[in-house]
Amino acid sequence: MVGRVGPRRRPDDVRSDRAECDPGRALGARVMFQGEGFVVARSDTMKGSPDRSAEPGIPHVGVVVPAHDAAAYLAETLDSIITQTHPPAEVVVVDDGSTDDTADIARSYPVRVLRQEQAGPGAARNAGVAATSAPLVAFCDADDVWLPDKLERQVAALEDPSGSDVDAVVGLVENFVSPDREGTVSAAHLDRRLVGAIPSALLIRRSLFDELGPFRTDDPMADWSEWWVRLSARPTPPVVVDALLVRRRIHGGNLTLQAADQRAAYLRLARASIARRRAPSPHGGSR
Amino acid sequence: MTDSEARFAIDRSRVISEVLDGEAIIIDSRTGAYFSLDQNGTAVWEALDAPGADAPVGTDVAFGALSMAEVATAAAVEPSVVASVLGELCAAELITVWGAAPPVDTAVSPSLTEYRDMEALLLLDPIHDVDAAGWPIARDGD
Repeated sequence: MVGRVGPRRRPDDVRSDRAECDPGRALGARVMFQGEGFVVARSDTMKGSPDRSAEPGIPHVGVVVPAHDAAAYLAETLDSIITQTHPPAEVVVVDDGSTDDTADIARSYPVRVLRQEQAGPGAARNAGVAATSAPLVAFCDADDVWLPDKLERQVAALEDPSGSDVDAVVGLVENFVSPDREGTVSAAHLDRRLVGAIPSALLIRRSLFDELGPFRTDDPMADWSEWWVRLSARPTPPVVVDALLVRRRIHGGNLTLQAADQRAAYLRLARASIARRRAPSPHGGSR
Repeated sequence: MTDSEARFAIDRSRVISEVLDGEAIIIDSRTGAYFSLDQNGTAVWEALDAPGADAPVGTDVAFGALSMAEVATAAAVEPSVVASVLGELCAAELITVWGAAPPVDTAVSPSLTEYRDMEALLLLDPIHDVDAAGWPIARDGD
């Protein structure tokens, strides 16, 4: 069973070790929008039998792994996926134009491997979703690691009878420095568990993915963030499982962490979100 | 009462910003909030963001920090409005003040609007500290 912790709460409420961001702090004359809260599902009610994926009525999960030159880390990622306590029904690795052994490593696992000319992670995720048919879809970047019960907890959250309007689930994420890069990248920012606004932390109903539409493919810096904002802006926000589900590998060259381009992308995204709010809604007024 | 000796500077340790189509967009990387400023507020922000003057000798005021009068002159905005905008920016901790922060004037229309819909996204990446090499490189003390 999955419970909800009272009314809809902000992600702040699920963790005490993250940055302070008191929504009421020093509001003064400012106007504040808080419409996009999260629903928090308690994790302590979600542990079930080790493998429920074969039980009648248990939704199957398709996992999409976009991979570009991911040979160094892909095996650990796939190990964490195929050993889930709720094993996925299908796993698709989309080799996005790799020039290393990514495809060979993927083929050594019981997964389906697609190859494409390098088109970026958004295009790879879109191709992977199209190649799967399971009613639930998860993503895992080829350098991240799932905790063993990641899918089990998230499927339980989706099954929760009291959460009939739940169609997307994330969990908590922590960053870790890849062992092969220890000492070369800063250990700062690693001591917090944060709401998993990354692909590897998401489980979503296929019907909702179809409703939201595919990832953008024209901007590798914004493919995920733009899609996440689309997801978060819905009246029914994602549920947050109150447990660590994903470890995000920091190896110094993470695509989403590359600097000035990403900052500019976030500023553009913020600007677009503000413009969307100001646009007249179909029902009159602004959103 | 306002502190005419107070000086103000953008807190660049936590803020990234850009003026787009005449409107300042500001991201606070420590809280995941982002902000927009109206026309007067944007003029104030651009004044603060401009290459600054020398700090007063013998003080710990940061290079480029401006007095309220200097901001008002550079922004070409009514001083009472400048004071209120600076009060809002101080309250939001987007700027650092050496001296007393001015109060927000409730008779002046708010300039600053806060949004939180990208909070989870922004908090995951230390975008302020990341350089061209990706994740921050190790420094002494890390």
